[in-house]
Amino acid sequence: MPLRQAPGAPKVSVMMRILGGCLLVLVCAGCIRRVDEKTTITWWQFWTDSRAKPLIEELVATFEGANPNINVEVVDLTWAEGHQKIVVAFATGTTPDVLELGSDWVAEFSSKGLLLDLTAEAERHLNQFAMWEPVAYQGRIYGYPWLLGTRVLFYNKDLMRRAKVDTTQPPATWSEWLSQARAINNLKGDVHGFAANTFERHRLYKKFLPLFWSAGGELFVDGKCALNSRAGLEALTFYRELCKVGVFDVQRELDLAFQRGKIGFTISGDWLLQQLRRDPKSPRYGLALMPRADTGISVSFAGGEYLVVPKKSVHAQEAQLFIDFLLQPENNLKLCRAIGFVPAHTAAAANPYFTEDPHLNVFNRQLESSRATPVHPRWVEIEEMIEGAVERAMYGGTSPDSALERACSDIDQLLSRP
Amino acid sequence: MKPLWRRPAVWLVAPWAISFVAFWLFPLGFALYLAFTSYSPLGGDLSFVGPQNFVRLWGDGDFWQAARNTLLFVGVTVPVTTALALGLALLLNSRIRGRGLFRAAFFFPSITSLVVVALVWTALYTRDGVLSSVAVALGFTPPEHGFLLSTSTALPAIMLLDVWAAVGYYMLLYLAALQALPAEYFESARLLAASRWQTLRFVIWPALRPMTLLVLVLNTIKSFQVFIEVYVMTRGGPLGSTRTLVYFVYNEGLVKFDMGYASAAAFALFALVAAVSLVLARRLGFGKEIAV
Repeated sequence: MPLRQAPGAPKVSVMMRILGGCLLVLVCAGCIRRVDEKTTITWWQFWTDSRAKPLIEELVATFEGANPNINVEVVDLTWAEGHQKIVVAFATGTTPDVLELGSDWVAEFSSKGLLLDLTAEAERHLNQFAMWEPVAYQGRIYGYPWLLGTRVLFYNKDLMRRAKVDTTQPPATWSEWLSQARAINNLKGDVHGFAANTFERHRLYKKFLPLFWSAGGELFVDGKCALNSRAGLEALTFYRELCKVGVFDVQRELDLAFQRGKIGFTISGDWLLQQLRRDPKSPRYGLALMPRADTGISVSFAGGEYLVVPKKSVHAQEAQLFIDFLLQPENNLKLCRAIGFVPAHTAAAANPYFTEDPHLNVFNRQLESSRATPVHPRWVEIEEMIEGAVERAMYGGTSPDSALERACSDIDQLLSRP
Repeated sequence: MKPLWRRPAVWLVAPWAISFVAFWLFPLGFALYLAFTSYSPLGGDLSFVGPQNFVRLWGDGDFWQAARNTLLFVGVTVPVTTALALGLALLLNSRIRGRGLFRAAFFFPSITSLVVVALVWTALYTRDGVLSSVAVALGFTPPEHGFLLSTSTALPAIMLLDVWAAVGYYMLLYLAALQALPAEYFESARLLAASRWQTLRFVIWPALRPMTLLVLVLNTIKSFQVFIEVYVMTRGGPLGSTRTLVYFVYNEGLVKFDMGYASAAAFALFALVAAVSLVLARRLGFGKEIAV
């Protein structure tokens, strides 16, 4: 049927036909090419430093070699901006097929039904992995534990010796800790007893909550904030005293200061151990379990990296295949040895590499009494309020009990909002 | 009458008009709507909730702290920057040795990325940074943990950086205005035996009034939106002492993803900027002829 043409515009119409023809050819070409095309899955992950990244690439290459019809596209995220990018991706439906999430971020997405329910598959592996709590929500499982990390006490033996503290007896209780930190802080020169985190996000609460837990605290009691309990007051009062003999800075600078021998005690993770081992000028140091409240037990913060599949993924099967590959004990172990984390796979974590190394073994032991961030859909907001309370007390303007009182009323108000 | 799409003017205006509507007018209107919802990108609820975001804002201590910090920031940096810019422009308009070098040197911060500048100044402000040593040498006691980690010095430290970074640009504007002044003004001043101060007060200052207005309005609007320095250097800390309104909006909207609340705060900021700009324009006689 001839097309009806407006008078005076035949040339346009010819052009349109040519263009239309070209378009058709292109579309057909696209259809034909699709048949033998590989499936490409995207993986968003956080391991970008020079030690981890080559291993990530190696793992991906091995997987692609074993699965010639699957391509894995790796997209790097940063800790500072990653959370934002992920939320935006979920909001706009541009999520990847496999996503690495920090333990404290999973609930925000699992609670809103944005992650693929992996319960059926995961239940078959339950006892092979540790720390499932962060990916569980209302009885379903939304991801796999991948890498586990905890924080322990690092102490500087050189400074302890100078302060006449027995280096074979690192502090086991809060009062020992405080008196040793004070002794070091009184030394001459630019040295400090303790390393106190400042305004960085996602950091400070990880230092404070273990103390709170060690004093017997629970964040929520009967659905209400219980930060202002006796345990909260005890923990915050102690932390404030510790900060008084401390230097304030961001985590990276604190780690560096410890490495340069300027800090007596710091709470840090496996990355600092790696840093100290690589640096020939490191001071003599030791690692110990987190000191316990004088009446409590040693508790630390456990964080972990989890692998999840967003619900929108159209390659869920391939994604699952890739996750299975990453979680194989030998792959889990390989990556952990490079980055210093403990494998979530219990068989890999039992490797002599972790159990026989006196330093790494402290992490292994600490993991047994470590707790993760409470699973809560609004955790990111709650965390900011807890950090606000700690900061208020740290900078001295507010008493610990009124700081905690305020945080609790803020948190309760947040929980009451729809 | 030709149909609309046949008129060339329509086609010429269209690219701008479309982008204006799509990327400016629509988002603005949508943000106003969002301010009356409790929308979050993950929750996705767009239902109208009335003015509750504004009510919450009214009772939010963090918001008022941010508003106070912002007003203080604007109130201090804008006059200081303007005065310094004018002073530098007058100096560099006279025939002094190395004039070109100085002009370039003062303008240099304006062409450097503010992120880079902020990172460099962060290093200067640390506990063992240069400025602490300078303070000690001058007999002052610098803050124990560095300038950016003390609630009393963090905001002034950022203000100082902002003045340093902004002054060159406004100096250039003043310099251009000074060079555009007719030589007759100065000649008549000389003939009337005006002193230097009188020349400045009664000739140069009134003649520069349109430029002063431009500098003040530009700088006020820019200073109300201060964000990069805060984001890079302190993230609003310590204890919210450097939290500004834009940082507050960012934190509510893009960290906590409470878009409705963030939109409400953004409109509060908009109202504040509009009010201050209007007052400025009125006080300085916007649109009046220059009387010499």
